[in-house]
Amino acid sequence: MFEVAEAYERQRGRSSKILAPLFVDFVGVRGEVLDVGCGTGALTFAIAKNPRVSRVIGIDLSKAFLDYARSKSDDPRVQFEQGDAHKLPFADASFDCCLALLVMSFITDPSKAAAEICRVTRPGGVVATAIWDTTGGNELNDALSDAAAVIDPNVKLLTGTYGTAEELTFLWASAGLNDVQVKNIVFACGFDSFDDFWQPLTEGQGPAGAYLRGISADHRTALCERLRQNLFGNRTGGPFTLNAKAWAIRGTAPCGKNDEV
Amino acid sequence: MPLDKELLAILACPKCKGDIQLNEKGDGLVCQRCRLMYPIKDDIPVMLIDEAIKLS
Repeated sequence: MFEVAEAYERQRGRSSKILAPLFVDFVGVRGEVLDVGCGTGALTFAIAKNPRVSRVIGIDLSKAFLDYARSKSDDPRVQFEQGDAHKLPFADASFDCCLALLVMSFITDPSKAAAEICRVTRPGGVVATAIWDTTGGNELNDALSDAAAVIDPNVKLLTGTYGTAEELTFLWASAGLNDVQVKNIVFACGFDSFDDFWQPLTEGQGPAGAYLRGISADHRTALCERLRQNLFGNRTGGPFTLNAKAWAIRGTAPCGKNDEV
Repeated sequence: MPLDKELLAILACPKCKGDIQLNEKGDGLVCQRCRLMYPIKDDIPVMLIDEAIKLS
């Protein structure tokens, strides 16, 4: 699902590159920063654009994505390494800010990962994540899900966990984070044509790609035509825009047990 | 670019969270406590316990 970096970039790179700087603005990054589940580096590079950042480390499970991200970087403040969010290779209190963009819904044990991310954040540091909104109106993801549901009512596509403000707030509060703030980030994502949207979905990357690889050719053709009809109606095609919505959450790492008064 | 000293200072063993050191060849990071070597592939440290090499 996350092996071919170029194909993933064609499908998700566009929206990630718009969302990442909006998320970074909301978080307010500084000092030494960790990007957990950095993938192809959209967030890592958005973080590095901030001059108050002295170092940013991107960590991911996928070697292919890390190689791609590394090939795009010539900033000595940016480094990448392969690692697991459940077992981060850092000492306690190593970072001023820890961020994770669109990854918590793919993590096996989000509570454990959140606790581990808090562990490596300095007391008073910022811990933040953003996840696609699954509560409706997120056209970028819903376009395919809605079309797929017409053909297969039981389809569970891109309806990951932590797509609501309540779930994210519960996760962050359970991790012991203070001053928790949530924001709904809405932005427009433009496409040149139907194929510009559809083709990258068929390349096997991410949940949408995995789903489209798993259905029959006839099913895929029917879904493609339904999606085209939903997006264009009687129009012949051409450029179009989809709204995308994500929830962003930030909290402040508590003082360690030894620091409590 | 090669690993810099500051990155080495911030990296820890993902298992015990203790200190790690660059090996003599410069192609792995060693945790003496866990007796594990985390390989460096294409200049990217592979800090995964499952892919670490057990030291004799």
